[in-house]
Amino acid sequence: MDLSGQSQELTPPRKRVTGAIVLRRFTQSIKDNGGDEQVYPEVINEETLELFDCDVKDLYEQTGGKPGYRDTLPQPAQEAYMVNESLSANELERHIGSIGGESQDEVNAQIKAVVREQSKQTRKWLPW
Amino acid sequence: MVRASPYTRMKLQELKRRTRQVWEALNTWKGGVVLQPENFDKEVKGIGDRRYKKTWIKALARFKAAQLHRSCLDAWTLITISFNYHPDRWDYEYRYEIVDEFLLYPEGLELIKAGLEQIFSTDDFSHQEREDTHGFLRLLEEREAQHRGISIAVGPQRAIAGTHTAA
Repeated sequence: MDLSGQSQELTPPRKRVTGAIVLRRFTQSIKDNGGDEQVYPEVINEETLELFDCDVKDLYEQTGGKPGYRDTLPQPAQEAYMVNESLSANELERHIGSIGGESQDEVNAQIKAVVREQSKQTRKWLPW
Repeated sequence: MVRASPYTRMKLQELKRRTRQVWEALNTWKGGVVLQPENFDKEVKGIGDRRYKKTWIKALARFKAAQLHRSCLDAWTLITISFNYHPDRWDYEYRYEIVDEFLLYPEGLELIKAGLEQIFSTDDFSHQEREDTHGFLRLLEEREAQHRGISIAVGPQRAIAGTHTAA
């Protein structure tokens, strides 16, 4: 509201989108679907296997990256994660409200299935 | 006040089920396929006598630590997600064993340090994300107290002095 008492429409703050911002949207979409802390490393493992044919540990070893620091991976690998996490977040956001089950295990399994399927699709567009 | 975890003193049958589940996550390959499921029994047997609960606790901790080590893409998520223990988690009861096993990896301590550094030495993390370090910081505080032989009351809301200023 301004000094004359008129309400002003708020413009949401915008900034340049980075891989870190995309990753946060991805992790939030997992939480919003009811995913717990157990599913998170499993999701990361599944997307990595589908995108790169190896696990995270091997990806760091084979590319000379520093484990735990995603920004030390080669640019194409970082881009692949960023694209896949953006698309997977879209898919997971679309599923909010429809993912469910009798147990946490079932919810986690459904989240993994969504990410696995999206990762398979993303892989088709990658040059390797 | 300490909230009782629904999984405190997990029954052996449930512990075995969880251990199997974690082992399968560790051995998952493309397409969600679990590699060589027949190896599970062999690996647990290699850890100890399968009639004893302590063997299964050791197996659970070892497999969980291996899974986290295998899939640690961003070190900070170890702190804010995987090691952010709270009493409602099924693995809360075994948090010390899991972290201890993780620290047996040569890079284990480095990954934890990297995670804390990423969170507290940059401006990229939200207040909530920094709050999500409390589960891990509390665990450290409990361990330290144990080593000093001091019993402390640890509740979910307990804040660690200096947490907010560490940034």
